[in-house]
Amino acid sequence: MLDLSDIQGLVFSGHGHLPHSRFLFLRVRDRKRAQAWLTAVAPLIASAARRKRGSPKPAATAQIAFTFAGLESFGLDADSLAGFPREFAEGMSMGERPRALGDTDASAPETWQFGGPANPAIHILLVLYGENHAKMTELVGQPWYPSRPDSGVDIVFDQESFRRDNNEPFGFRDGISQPVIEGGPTPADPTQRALTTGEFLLGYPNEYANLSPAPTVRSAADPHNLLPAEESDPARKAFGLNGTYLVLRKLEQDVDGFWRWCKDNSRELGSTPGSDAAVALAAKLVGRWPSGCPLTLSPEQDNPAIGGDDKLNNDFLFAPTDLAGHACPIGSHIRRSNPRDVLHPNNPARSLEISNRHRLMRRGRPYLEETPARKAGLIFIAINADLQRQFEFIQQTWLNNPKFNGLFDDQDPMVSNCAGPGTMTIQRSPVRKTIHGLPQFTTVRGGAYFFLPGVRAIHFLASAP
Amino acid sequence: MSQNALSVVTYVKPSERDALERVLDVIGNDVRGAGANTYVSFAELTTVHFACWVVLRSTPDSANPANVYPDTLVLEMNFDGDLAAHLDEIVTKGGKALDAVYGHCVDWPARGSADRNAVVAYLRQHSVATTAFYVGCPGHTVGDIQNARAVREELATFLDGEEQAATLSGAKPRDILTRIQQYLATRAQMKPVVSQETLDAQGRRGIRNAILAALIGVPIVIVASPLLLVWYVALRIRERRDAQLVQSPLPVDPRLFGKEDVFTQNHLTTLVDVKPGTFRLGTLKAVLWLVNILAKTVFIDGQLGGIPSIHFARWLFLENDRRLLFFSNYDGSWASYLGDFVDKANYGLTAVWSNTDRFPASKHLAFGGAQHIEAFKQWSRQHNVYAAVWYSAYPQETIQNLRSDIRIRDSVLKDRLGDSDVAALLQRF
Repeated sequence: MLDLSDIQGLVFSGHGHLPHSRFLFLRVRDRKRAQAWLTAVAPLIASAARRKRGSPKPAATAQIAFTFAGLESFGLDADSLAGFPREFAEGMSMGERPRALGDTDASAPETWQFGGPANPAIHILLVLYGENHAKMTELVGQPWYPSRPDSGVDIVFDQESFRRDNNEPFGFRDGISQPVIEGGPTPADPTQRALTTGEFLLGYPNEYANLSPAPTVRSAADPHNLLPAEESDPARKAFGLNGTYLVLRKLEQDVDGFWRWCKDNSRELGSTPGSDAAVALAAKLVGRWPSGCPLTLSPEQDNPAIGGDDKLNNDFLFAPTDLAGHACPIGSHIRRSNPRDVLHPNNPARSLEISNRHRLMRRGRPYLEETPARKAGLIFIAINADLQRQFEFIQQTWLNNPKFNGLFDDQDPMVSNCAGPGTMTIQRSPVRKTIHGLPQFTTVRGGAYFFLPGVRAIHFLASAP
Repeated sequence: MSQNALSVVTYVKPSERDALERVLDVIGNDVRGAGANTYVSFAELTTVHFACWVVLRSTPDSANPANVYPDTLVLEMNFDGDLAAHLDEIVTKGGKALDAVYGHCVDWPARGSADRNAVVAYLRQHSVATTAFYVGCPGHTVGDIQNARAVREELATFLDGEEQAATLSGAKPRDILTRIQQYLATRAQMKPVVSQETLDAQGRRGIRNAILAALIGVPIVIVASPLLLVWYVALRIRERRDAQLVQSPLPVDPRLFGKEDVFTQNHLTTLVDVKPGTFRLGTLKAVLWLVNILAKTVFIDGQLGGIPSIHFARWLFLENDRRLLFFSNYDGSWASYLGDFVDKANYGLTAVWSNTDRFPASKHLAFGGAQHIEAFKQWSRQHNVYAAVWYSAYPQETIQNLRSDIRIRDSVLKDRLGDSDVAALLQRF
């Protein structure tokens, strides 16, 4: 049984009823004041606990996460920090990681707005959610709002976001194909097996039947006894239990460029009866039609009845009807990011099992900036218990891999950050169509790895001696 | 022509390791000899698929800390054909590099590469037998693989041009093949070199061998079962004892990360001490003997126990069987390779490495162990050795790619292909 009151709500819910959000990237200036600030902000932080029957949905909520440096700034010592994995300790923009993630050239961390080597250190991510503009303004006026000089924390980057509808900025329905977590409050989905809790929360069995590694602290470090006991070691307390890792990336999308390119190249596909040629090409790149309907289920034209239905739009496999990729190309975005049952051409069941070891819970939100220039994009957020095996693996081995699933030299047409023009192969009969000169439509503008602690761990950080 | 393994193992002269590593870095940062590396251009070595120089830095024996292994240089060559011809090519084209590198190693001939016979004798004397060797695409030489790639690329460009001219829409597969063949006939410099044994025939041979191996193996296991039972009891006693061991983690060499994921392929060097005692060593040797036989007879279809991304891999023993060295030249990232190990081949690799120091606790030889993915990844990282020099003759080709290339190349000139074969051929592009 999961203690939902100890898990931040974002793990199980994207707070879809609160369309406004604000991402505040904070740096700790003064530890004691920052701890007082954290105590003040803590009541607003949503847990995953069910609301009491009849109580209204909250009009505003918040979630909080910490970088490795952030945990250090709240007083976690080397002994406690040693339990965190190398990826998290080093961060998204360090060492060889940008190369592995494809964050090079225009997407290189040196050019980022936040989280890069030229930007101030980030310690905390505070995400505020509100039901309307007035509510957001009200939050900014709160005494704990971090712009106040005595709060002990500085805002180093401030990102607003508004979620108008279910679509991402290119115009495709987003947030489809989310995993279901075993033991969570989300009802079972007959179309997919629930994934083990340890894929998305620390301290639980994962898809390998191992406990996802959860960092611990010495019992002496927890004099107020705020943390649960660590079962494997009586001398330690469970700090990481019910926490998880949060990946945040600001992905700027060249919406005009994308649609201009699709129009200019739409004759490449030949005639597309039943749909606009530019949309048909765009759908080949994505693997879904704008409504969210997968090409595998409807190769020739969009079918909003499927796209708009959260069960139907995710209820398909590639191997039975689309192994060769004639409907949904092998290198399309959705096939790369979740290959389902095609990694092992001769063993779909085994493939599905392996794909399930590399899944993400996505909690991203779109943004639109009018000044100084109109820019649209996505604050991509992914939740996973193993940064290396989940987020980084998907990014490196599936999305950015030019050799993905037997391809010769293709890039993910939507999110690849490879320098120079790309190639996209569209499988069909009698012979494939190859589109050369694919430009980069998405540019990384910032990002960081965070630890999304459990609720008790937040209180522990707020009062750590 | 067969692909073979050469491993040359030499001790580094005392206090010359830094100087050696500096030379290796110059070569390693420019293996094709286009810039600062004036010692050797590996690309000129026509017999070499993959090559690596790795320095095993001096460490104490884990079971007997008084015994300190000296700094050791290992050369890993994966080459075509005859060893004598390969050595001849190395000395002819790489003499300057051999002098610069092995000048820092003990017993290097006084006149160096000027004395060809002495150098060849030195390399032969210091070569260590490979205990198990796997080839991802057996029977195909470097030239053959590069030819297949060139043919496929040429034809891909041709098809792109035809598409631009819109001559393919509505065309029958057989007409397209005819056009490809006509085009190839006009390209005098592009001669497809057809394989002696097709990949399909090779795959069928692997299946026949698997059946044969089962027919031979099962009776042997039945006859030997009393002995195996004794062995099994002895194994379980040791596994229970080993599971109680608590060992502090080893440091990870930070240089490893800078060399990875520069292009499609990567290289892995893993060095571990064998668990002490003849029981573990004997078990390990028996497992590797079996791996070697299966690699040569059954795993000849581009997959080693289900892992589809290995070009060349080998195991060999060093220091009187006290240490086990593993080299692998593979496709994709380290994390995906290790993931493949665990997802697809964890029994096999646990059966090998459960006999070595610090491997995650195993049961019944092949269970547990690598299934503890986190512990296994940590174990692997802690035993990875930085390879200063690493060369691939075809760095843009995955095993899947080059097998597609070979299939295209081998069938594109055939006259008598069935309709479904023609359609399948065109789908490979």
